[in-house]
Parts: sequence; C-alpha cells; structure tokens
Amino acid sequence: MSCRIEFNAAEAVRYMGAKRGDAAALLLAEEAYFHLRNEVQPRHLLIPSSMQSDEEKGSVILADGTAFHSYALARHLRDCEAVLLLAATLGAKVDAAVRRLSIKRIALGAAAQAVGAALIETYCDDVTAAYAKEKAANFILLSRFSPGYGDWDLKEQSILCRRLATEKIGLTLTAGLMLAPTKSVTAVIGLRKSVSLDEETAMNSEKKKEKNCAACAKTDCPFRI
Amino acid sequence: MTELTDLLGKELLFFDGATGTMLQAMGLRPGELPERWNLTHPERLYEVHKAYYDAGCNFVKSNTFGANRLKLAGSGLDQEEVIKAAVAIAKRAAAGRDKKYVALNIGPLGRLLAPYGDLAFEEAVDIFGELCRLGAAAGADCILIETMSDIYEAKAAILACKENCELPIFITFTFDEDGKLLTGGTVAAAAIMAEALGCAAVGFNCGLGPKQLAPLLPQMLEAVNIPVIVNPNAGLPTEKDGKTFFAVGPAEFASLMYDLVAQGVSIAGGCCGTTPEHLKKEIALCRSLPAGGRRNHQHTAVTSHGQALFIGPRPLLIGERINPTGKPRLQEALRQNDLDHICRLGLEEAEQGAHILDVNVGLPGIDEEKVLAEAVCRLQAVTDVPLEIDSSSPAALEKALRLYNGKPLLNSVSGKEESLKAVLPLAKKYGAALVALALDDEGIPTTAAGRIKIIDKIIKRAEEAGIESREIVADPLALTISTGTENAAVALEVVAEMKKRGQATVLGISNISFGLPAREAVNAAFFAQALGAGLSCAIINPGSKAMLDAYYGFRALKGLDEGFKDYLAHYAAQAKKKEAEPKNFAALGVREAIEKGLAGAAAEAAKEALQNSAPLEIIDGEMIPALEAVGKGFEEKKLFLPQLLMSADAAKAAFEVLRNEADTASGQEGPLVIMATVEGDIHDIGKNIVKALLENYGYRVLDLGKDVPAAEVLAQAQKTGAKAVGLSALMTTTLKAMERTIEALHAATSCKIVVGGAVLTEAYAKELGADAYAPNAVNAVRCINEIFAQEKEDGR
Repeated sequence: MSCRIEFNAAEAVRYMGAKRGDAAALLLAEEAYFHLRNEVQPRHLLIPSSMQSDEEKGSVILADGTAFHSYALARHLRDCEAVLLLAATLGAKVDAAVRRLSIKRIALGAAAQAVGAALIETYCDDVTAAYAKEKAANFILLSRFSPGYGDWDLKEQSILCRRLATEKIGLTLTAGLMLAPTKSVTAVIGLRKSVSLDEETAMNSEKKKEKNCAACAKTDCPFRI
Repeated sequence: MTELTDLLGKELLFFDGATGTMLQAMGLRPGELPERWNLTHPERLYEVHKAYYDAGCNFVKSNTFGANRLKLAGSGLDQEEVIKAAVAIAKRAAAGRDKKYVALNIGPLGRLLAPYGDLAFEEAVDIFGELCRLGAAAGADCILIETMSDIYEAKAAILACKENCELPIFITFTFDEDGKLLTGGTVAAAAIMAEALGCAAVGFNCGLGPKQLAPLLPQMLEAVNIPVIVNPNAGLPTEKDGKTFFAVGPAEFASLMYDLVAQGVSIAGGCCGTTPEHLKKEIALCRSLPAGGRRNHQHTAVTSHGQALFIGPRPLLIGERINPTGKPRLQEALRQNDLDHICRLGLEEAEQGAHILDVNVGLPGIDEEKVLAEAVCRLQAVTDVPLEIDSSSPAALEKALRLYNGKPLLNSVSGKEESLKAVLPLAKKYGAALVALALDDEGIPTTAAGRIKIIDKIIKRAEEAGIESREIVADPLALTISTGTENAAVALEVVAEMKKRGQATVLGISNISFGLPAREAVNAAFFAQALGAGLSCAIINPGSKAMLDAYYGFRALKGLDEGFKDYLAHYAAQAKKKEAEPKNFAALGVREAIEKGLAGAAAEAAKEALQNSAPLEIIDGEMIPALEAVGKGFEEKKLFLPQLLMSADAAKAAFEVLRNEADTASGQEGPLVIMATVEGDIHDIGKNIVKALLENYGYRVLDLGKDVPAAEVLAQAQKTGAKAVGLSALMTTTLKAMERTIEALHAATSCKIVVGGAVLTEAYAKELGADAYAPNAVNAVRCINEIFAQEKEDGR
C-alpha cells in the first residue's frame, strides 16, 4: 500500500531538530519519505462517546462506564459533553524501514524517524477532520489529549486501548505501556458544542499546539512552543 | 463417531459463526472478558454452541479465544478452570451426535512480538503452549488458531501446538482488502509457512466479508495443497451510535459463500456478525458442493514475514557474502558481535538483486548457536528477503530455524548418515526447504550418476521423514576445474537431469574456479552454462558485475524475463548509479569531506590519503579534528542534528575504507563501550545516534539493543570488563528500569554510566545514580571521552 497521507516536509525538518528551511535537512527528509512511503499501512479507529468530566474529582466517565483519572484531562474536557476516542498507527513496516535506514546511514534513519512522526501527526489530523466534517459538524474538536500528558497516568493507556480494541488495527501495548508499532497515537478528543463556529474554530486551531504543550510537564523540551 | 481426519478434505465441513456477536446480544458488555462467561453463564454458551450444531455446523469454537495468561492477567480468573469449562460446555452441546467436533479456539496474544513489540518469540510459544495443553487435556478434538495478523505470532502458536499435543491444527489469518496482514505479510507467505509447519488446514477469518475475500481466495488455493478454510465476517463493519454492525444478512451471506466454496474450499463457516441463521442458510445452500480437498502443486517455495518466493519459474540469486570464510572484515565484525555489519552486507546484497540471503557465521572461537540465531533475528528485522540458514552445526541450525520468521531454506543436508539423522527431523519440524548436497560417507562421487544416486537417496530418506520431494533443492556440487576439467561437466549433467525431473537445484558457482587466476571469467561462463542446463538457484556474490551480466543476459535470451523488464530495470539502475556518483572528489581532503557530510567523498579521500599516511595518522590528524569541529558547531547551535549525522555517516565511510584497505586498522581495537535502551523501552534512535558517533571516535560499541533487562547489561559488563556503559530511556515509565540497571552495575562493577533520553534531566540522572548525564549525542561522546581520559590518568 502506498502512502495516502500528505507529507509535511517542514514539520519533519522541525522534528529532526534542524532549523526552519534547512536545505540539507529537507533533502534528507525527502529521501527518507521516498523510502517510507510504500511501507506505510495507515489504520485507525475513532469511537464517539458521551462523557461526563468532573474537574474537582479529576475524573472522566464515558457512557459505558469506562473511567479515566486525571485533573488535567477533566479540565481539558470541562466544556464538553462528548469525546472521540482515537487510535491510529502507520503499521509495523515503518518501524522496520526506520531500522533498515538507520543501519545504512544514521542521518537517514533519524530523518525517517522524523518523517514517520510527521506522517502520523498528519494522519491523525486528517482522519479526525474527516470525521468531524461528516459526523460532528456542530461540534468543535479540541486538541488530542493522550495518556501521559499532564497528570494523566500512562497506566490508563491500557484502559484506552482495551476500550478501542486497538488490536484490530495491529496496535498493541508493550509491558512498559508503550505503543507498538512506535509510529502510533492514542488520544481522547473533546467535542464541544459550537456557539459561533468560525470564531471558535479559529481560536481553537491557533491555540491547539499551545494547549498541548502547556499540559506537558517537560518544560525543557526542545519542541515546546 | 467419525474421525475428523477421515472427513477433512473429503466432505465439505462447516465451522460455526460468531460467538462474540451472540454473547454481546445476550448482554456481554464491551471490554468485558467473554471467557468469564464460561463460569458465569455456561447455559448461555451452551445455547450458542447448540444452536450452531443444530444449524448443521460440524465444528464449534470453544470460548477460549483470549484464554491466555496475558489477557487473563488481573481478571481474577483461573486459566485452567476457564478452559476446562469452555471445552466441557462445547462437548456437552456436541454429545451424542456424529460429525460434531470441538475446536480449541486460540486467538492472538494482544502483544506484538519483537522486533515490532517487546514479546519474545519463545515467551509467546510458552504462552500458547500452556493454553494448548489445557485445551487438549480438556478433550478438544482439534485446534483452531485464528485471527492471526502476524506470521511470527502464527509460527509461535503452531510450534506451541505441535510441541504440546497431537491434535490436528487449523489456522486462519486476517487480511486486509489488499491481501496483506497487519504486519505486511502476503496470503501466500502466511499459507505456505502454515503448510510447511504441518497444519492440517489453513484459511481466512475475520476482517473481511465473503465479497472482499473472493479475490484473495485464489491466492491461497494457488499457494498450498492443504485444505482451505473460509470463515468471513457478515460483510464489512459499519458503525451507528458508537456500535458496530455487520450488514450482510443470512440469505446474501449464504449466496456469497456458495461462490467461495465452489472455488475449492473444504471448510466454511463465519466470523463476526454471523449467526446460527447465517450458518443454517449457508449450509443449506452449500451442502451439495464437494469439498475442495487437496490440490497437487509441485512448487518449491521459501518465505519471509513479508513475501513468498517460488523456486523454479525463473532462476534465483542467493547472496553469498554473509560467510566469514576468507573475509577478515566480517570475521572481525563477528568476533566483536557487530551484527549491524552483517545487516549492512545483507541489505547491500538485497539491493544488488539477491532474492535469498545465505547466512553463515561459522568461525572458530565464536558461539555459533547464539550468533547465527542473533544474525537471523537482526536480518529479518530489517529485510523481508527470505534467508538461507547455513551451518554444519545441527544445534545452531535448530535455534535459527526456530526463530526464523517464515519458511527458510536450510543449507544443508548431505547423504552422510549422521547428517540425514540430524538434519531431516529439523527440516520437518520447522518446515524448511532443504538443500541436499551430493556427497555421502564415501565422499563426493566423480560421476554424475554417482551424485544423482546420493540425491535420490536423500529424497527417499526425506520422504520417509515426512518431507515432500518438492522441498528438496539438490546441490550437485561445483568442484574446481583446477583439479579436473571434467568437474564442470559433471555438475552440469546433474543439473540437467534434475531439471528433467522437475527437481529444484542450487550451485555455489564460484567454487568452480578455486585456485585459478582471474576467477570471474570462469565463474561467469560456468554460471551461464549452469543456467542453460536449468539451474534454479545460484549462490553468488551479487556485487559481481560479470555474474549479474550473465544472469540478466541469460534470462533475456531464454525468455525468462517478460518484456525484458528486469534486464532494463537493472541496467537503467546501473546507469543512474554511475551518474549519481559525485565527481572531483580529489579536491576534498578527509577532513573537509567529513565536515561537509559527504560520505562518498570521505571514502574516496580516505583511499587517497592511505597512499601517503598510516591509518592512525588519518584518524588522529583528519577525522577526529573534523568530528570535533562538527560537534562544536552542533553545541554552539551553528549546525544541527542532520548535519551532525551526515558527518557521522561520512566519517563512518572513511573509517570503513581504513578498516578494509589497511591491515593495521583492524586489530587496532578501541576502548569498549556498552550501549543499551533499558528494559521496557522500545525506542532506540537516540541510542543508535550516540553509537554512530562513538564509533566515529574509534570506540568499539557493544550494542545490546532495546528493551534490555538490567541483568543482561550487567552480565555483558562483567563478561567484557567494559569501563563505560551508555543507557537510554525515552519515557518516564522506564526510568525505574534505568535506576535498576544503574544499581546493578554499580553494585557489581566499577564501570561508569552515562545516561540520556527525552525524559531525563541533569537532576533526574543524579537521582538515579548515573555518573554522567548527556543532554545530546555530542555531549554523550564527550562524557565517554572524559571517562576514558580519567581512566588513563588513574592508570598512571
């Protein structure tokens, strides 16, 4: 299967730790993408659920009783009545390709790593946007919030994966609660009823990355915005 | 009671449909373990099973899909109790009726196997084995391994069943509409391995409906002879209000199934969304059809986790370069456990056009059993080119065959009694195609008739051991013409005879010229002759232009290259490669080439520099200053990670030249550093970057890989006496493992530990007890340099 995800080379260059517009990094990213594009087997799951969040207790309870425990998540979802549960992966072959390229040339391997990160980000954005357009037109989609963000314990990754039955897309957890294959994402996306759609959407997209970073404890992260 | 084996493939048989769908309709909640119902709702399960038997199904699947210790962990359920109850309920529903069987249902473990995930192959075998033993003891009639989406996990499950019971094994895989497993394997690759490992039947389940399966079914029927199973979903899932539905109703399902079964299916059933009503209609409509039974393909095939390769339709190239005989650089790499070097050779061979890679690591003084298995695992983690596992040690063969992800080519068995006794059972158990050498206890016969006789004997003995003759790839042996000019003719005569019989053949081509000068001329001419005689596989160096010229030329002449496709592609790629080679390297010195990150130029400059300088002078005078300059630029943020790594690649290219072309460079062993990503962590790009930089500086790096337990790091540190260890961790959850590793190392060794990784900070590192913290790769090298400088000073 060839890659149907648009490749955001500038984003890959950023993940590579290069400066914006760095020509050498851009060339490497393009080369890495050339090697990865036929290895990508993108798959995802999106499950909507109504939800109640309790900021004081730091809990988020889904309609079927599934419960998550995090003050940051509850705060993030405070104005929402529903969420989308998302799982997405580029598949195992991408990991093999990154390994292969790293062995040949470490620069190309590191570039492939960054290209994979850019591709999974775009893929998550695309599938969520497509869903929103089709089935949640009256909602504003908040940014993705994943186990491990803020005070949301990574241990709850297993609850999220079980609820989504991520095995179906070949996405599993290691004993150490890491996603395998590595180019994968699981997240909760808040759905908020829109009042003034245009205004809210604009504000939301502008603040999107900021919000993600603000919730994260790693204040010395080189990618922090 | 009719024996299942008497019916299989002779009478059309029917599996049941979905159990999960039925239980959900009865109130099983999402996320709840269905296996719990074996104890809490046995009557409900009995109803489901009975309804399927009443509908005419021959098999029901026991409610044990997830009854493995990984999925039951934390549920409070006792595995033995759950499995016993499941089989008993199904048996009760079958009681007193003929041609009704209970299949012990085994699903995936829910954790990806290494190298994609962290589950070790042998642990998977152990977990499946446990389930199988309990199910067999409870009285299941056969085993159904289903919903497999990874060939490696399927192999673990099949081996576990073979080793723990005598029941017939059925296996069904889940493909996407492109005919690929979740881990990328094709229909033929999955089915051929299952057949080779001795499964009684193979097929499809879940994922797709009968309509989407239709184009995939012929691929399986074409690939294997064993009976084929089709258990599709009731169409593709659709979602409404957060719930999943399957849209194909019983009548439509039955009619679609009829078309599939008529193609040659032997067992038909259903999966998600199918109900007793679906099966009732399916059985009513299909019952009149005969079972597809076995087919009679005579092809020889090998597979990897990604692809199946047929030996015969066109001659294939087997890369010979992963063999240390006469190769000092590879010997050095093997002694230093530098498996990346082996992977690099393999990847190069694959790029040069090898269809199969021979893997031989036999070298005095190394633990061949361990190293061969590791080499196979590392290679299959980076390429899906099938491997030929090559060793004279049965123990080394067994371990590598076991861990190989697919159906390998085994090199080799001979007519010697000892070899036949040791190797044939291995080929049978692990489902390998087998190279048969035309030699026996009396030596190598000088005549073609003598060699054919030995091959015939091997084929006969293989058949007695349960291995079909088509699995044998005969090697007539090319003896050098320098000891007898008739040697070429004898080998060719055997090839021609085997071709006549439809038996696959292989020859190590370059042996023909041993002892002669300008060997390539003779090799290429002999290769062309052998191809003309009908040779199926040639073991060659795919980097040899003369050999590839003979190969592509022959196929073009013989009409074995439709539309000259491969011929044109090969020579177009050659021209392109030549064009891409940068020119005017002479202008750049080693230092400048490395600083600019030009790998090709750095290699050329190193060759040039060797004319006038010793390798050590080049390293100290050119390479290290270049790396220092680049490292400084990186730390001052004048240049960035990509440039740093391109320089690392350029330095590596220069270093390889010094190693390959100057004897003095090899043998000069730098200080040893152990590197590992700690247990529980499967991210290794950071560690790999540091490793590359350390190697640039002349360090020997023992790379233990990722997800490495503390005990393994400690054992290696003690074994090697390494003075420095680098540890990497990406996530907060693995910092505990890092702390454990540091504790273990500090308690039992005097080595210094440098740590790094995304979640670490200086303060964290101190808390964990590390000797140094490296915020980036350049700094990691600096820390290691300082450790060894201090070491030197202390030593004075």
